[in-house]
Amino acid sequence: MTPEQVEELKEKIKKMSPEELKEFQKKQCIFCHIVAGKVQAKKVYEDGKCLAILDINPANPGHILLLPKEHYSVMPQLPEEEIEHIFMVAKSLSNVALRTLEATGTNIIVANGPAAGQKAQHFMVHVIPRRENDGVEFTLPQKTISEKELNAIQEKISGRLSKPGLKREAVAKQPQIILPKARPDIEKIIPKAGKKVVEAEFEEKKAEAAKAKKKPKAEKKPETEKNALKKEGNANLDDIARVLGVK
Amino acid sequence: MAEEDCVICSIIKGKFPSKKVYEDDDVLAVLDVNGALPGHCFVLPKEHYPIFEQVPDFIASKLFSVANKVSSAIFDALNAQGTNIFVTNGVAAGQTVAHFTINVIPRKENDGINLQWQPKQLSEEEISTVELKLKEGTKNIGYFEKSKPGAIKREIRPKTETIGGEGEENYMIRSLRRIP
Repeated sequence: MTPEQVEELKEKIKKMSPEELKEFQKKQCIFCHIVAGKVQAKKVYEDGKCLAILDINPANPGHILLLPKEHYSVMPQLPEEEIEHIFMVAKSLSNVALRTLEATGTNIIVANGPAAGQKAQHFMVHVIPRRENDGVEFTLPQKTISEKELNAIQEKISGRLSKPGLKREAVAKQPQIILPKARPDIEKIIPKAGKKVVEAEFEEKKAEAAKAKKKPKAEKKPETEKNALKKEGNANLDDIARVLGVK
Repeated sequence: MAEEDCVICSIIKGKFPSKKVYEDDDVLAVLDVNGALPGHCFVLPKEHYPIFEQVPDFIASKLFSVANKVSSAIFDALNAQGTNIFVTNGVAAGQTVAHFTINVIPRKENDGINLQWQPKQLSEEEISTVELKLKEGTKNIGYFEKSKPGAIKREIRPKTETIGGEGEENYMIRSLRRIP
């Protein structure tokens, strides 16, 4: 492409709405073509949400790429249920690779962003079967980081992870597991205790609802932040340009 | 390695100091003190599971969803240009501690971390054998344990009061039937 064409393309991309941009990315994305069946690939697993194929540039025989069928460029864009589903499949695939290919280990790698080694604009999970001395080497250098720096980072990261949205979610999910629905006999044994648990939960929900009414602003915050994050992910023009082969 | 000797279990129990960034009932995220880069985090299950295959599905999904949140927080907090989610499963894959760990690594250009590989040239035959083997194995994927299995439903049998041995008719009844 000539420099003028590059500029033209960049302008075009800048004017696009997030939906148009996603559509544009989809058209350029080889993995979306594979999902749609327009490009051939060696499929090893498929379900409603994801597809697993063999990598054409494998680190080892049996190197699997696991992709969501929907187009997402990086991991933070994925909805939580999809992440949960994809990694449960990744676990099963790792299990299958260990058993059927006589591998003695597996690596699971996700790269978000070109700096992390991401080459295609489609989120994917690599499952790489490993054997001793197979010539694959991933190096993670070890550095000693000062106590001061560690504390500063801890504060920054944990501050972002203890947002009300995240914690409430974690708390709200627990009762589903604990509730003794699977054992109706528990009510026969201690009927009062069983009822109390349900009542207490109701009251908790009421209290939460009341809180939500009082503080509508605090409730809305996490959503807007999520949106901001999504936009950021989409609007990374340089990344898109790089993938398209524009320099 | 047993649970008692596991360094990570001692960190979780609080025997060793650590820099926690996230904690809930099943998952703990801590900063790596000797990280590849400042901000390198470990996401760990609180139960002791040496390898991925032993982690129940619902814990695995929770772990990776926390890893995703940690990765987003790293993007935000440290202005990282990218992140890696990296799991070593088995000694051959580079696992050093017998407690399943997800590495979340902040990345910058030319940071000295190498998670790249030299593509291997495989023959058509090799590729198709691998494909067939994997396809055979993946046929069984589909059932996922999405929550902790509940207690097994038990039927409580009403206790029948019997005098004497089980299965044997009571001697008093027997004696009534006897025709003199």
